[in-house]
Amino acid sequence: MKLISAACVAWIAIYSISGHAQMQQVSLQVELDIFSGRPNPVWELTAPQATEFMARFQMLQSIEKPPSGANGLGYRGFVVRPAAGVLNGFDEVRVYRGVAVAREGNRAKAFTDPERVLERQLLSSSRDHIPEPILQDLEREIMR
Amino acid sequence: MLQVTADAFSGLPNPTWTVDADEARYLLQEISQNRSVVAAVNEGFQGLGYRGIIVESLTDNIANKYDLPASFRVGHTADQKNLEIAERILRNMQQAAALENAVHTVLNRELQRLGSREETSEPDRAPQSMPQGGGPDSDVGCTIEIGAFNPGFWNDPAYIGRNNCYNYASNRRTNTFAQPGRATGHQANVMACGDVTNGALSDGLHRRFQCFPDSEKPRWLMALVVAPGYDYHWYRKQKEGFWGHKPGGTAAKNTDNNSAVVWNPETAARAPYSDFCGYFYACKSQRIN
Repeated sequence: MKLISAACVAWIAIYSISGHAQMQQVSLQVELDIFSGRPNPVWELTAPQATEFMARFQMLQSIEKPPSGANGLGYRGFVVRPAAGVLNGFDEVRVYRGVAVAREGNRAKAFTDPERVLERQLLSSSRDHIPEPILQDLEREIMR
Repeated sequence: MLQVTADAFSGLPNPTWTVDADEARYLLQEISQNRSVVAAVNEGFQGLGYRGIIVESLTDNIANKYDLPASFRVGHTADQKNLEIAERILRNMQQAAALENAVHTVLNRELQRLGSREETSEPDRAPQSMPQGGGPDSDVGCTIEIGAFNPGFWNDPAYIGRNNCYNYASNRRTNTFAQPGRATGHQANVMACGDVTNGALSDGLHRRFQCFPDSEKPRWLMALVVAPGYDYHWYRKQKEGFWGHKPGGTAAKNTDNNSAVVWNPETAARAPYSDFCGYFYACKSQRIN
């Protein structure tokens, strides 16, 4: 597992250094889909965070049929959208419980993320943008 | 082959009918193209009167072909397609003499009532009290309006993300993701029952049993819950007897976090909205933004 993680980090570093045009230009906005009454928290990833997200997203394996997503009260996932540039041709990527669903118009494609790597990364990026009690609950939900 | 049963009776067996192959194909195609009409057999209104139509496959291949469950319920909400499918099934049952004419008339009337976009007025009674040493008080209460559950109005892609639980419970599609108190300068910023309640009262809502006159119709019955420190959530009583709600920018629905129909918002699965704050009435002059 350590060897695989090290390989991933190295791959991400190489990908970043190589200056891939698509990732350098992308600026990503994240929405934490959690509230019912109040508007959801929204923030923008830093450039390194956006690069890391794109690299990790592109490493995911696609799956045929995604499970139905959450639509009740409470945590319903993170939604990532391009603020500038392109997100691999998708309008948005919703990440929830180990599945990433990418949409472009009516077209949807699903990917598996069994280690919830994307969610953990997005959770980490949220620390300055959501209140501490909510952060703690999300950590319990995502890090279990 | 398909078996359809009108779930309406309490004492007598429900009328049931075996649908022929051609009609079965037509029905399943209609239903599979309008999947929002499909509910679990044990979902929906469970009281006296018309409760919908149970559809069951009699062969092992037909449900798979249309990617439908082997048995399910339709015709139990005010959704237009749901009512059309139910009307067709009942009409066919009547023509096949599987449903007596008089029963068909009554059930059709129930469908019309369900589908009626007009709200109906009904009493909202407070519990009787027993003063010491005396007989029971007469009921006190208010007259309210209730409307049919119509999620399609809220779940249209053009509107779904722009209206939240407060919009839904107030039945006002303002497209502003409305906040209690914002329209009247007293938006609740602390997520606690008292603060959100004050915001709603500022907008013009009344606490339950503080009646509005008829001039303030429609007077929807709403329920407020709070996730302390997080957020708030609202429900609205529907004509079918359950409560509808809309979690933020997601779909309006009548089920809770356990996929159970919300018959009582106090006991519905609603984590993390642990605090039940109370019931309120909306009114015509309610301001909302």
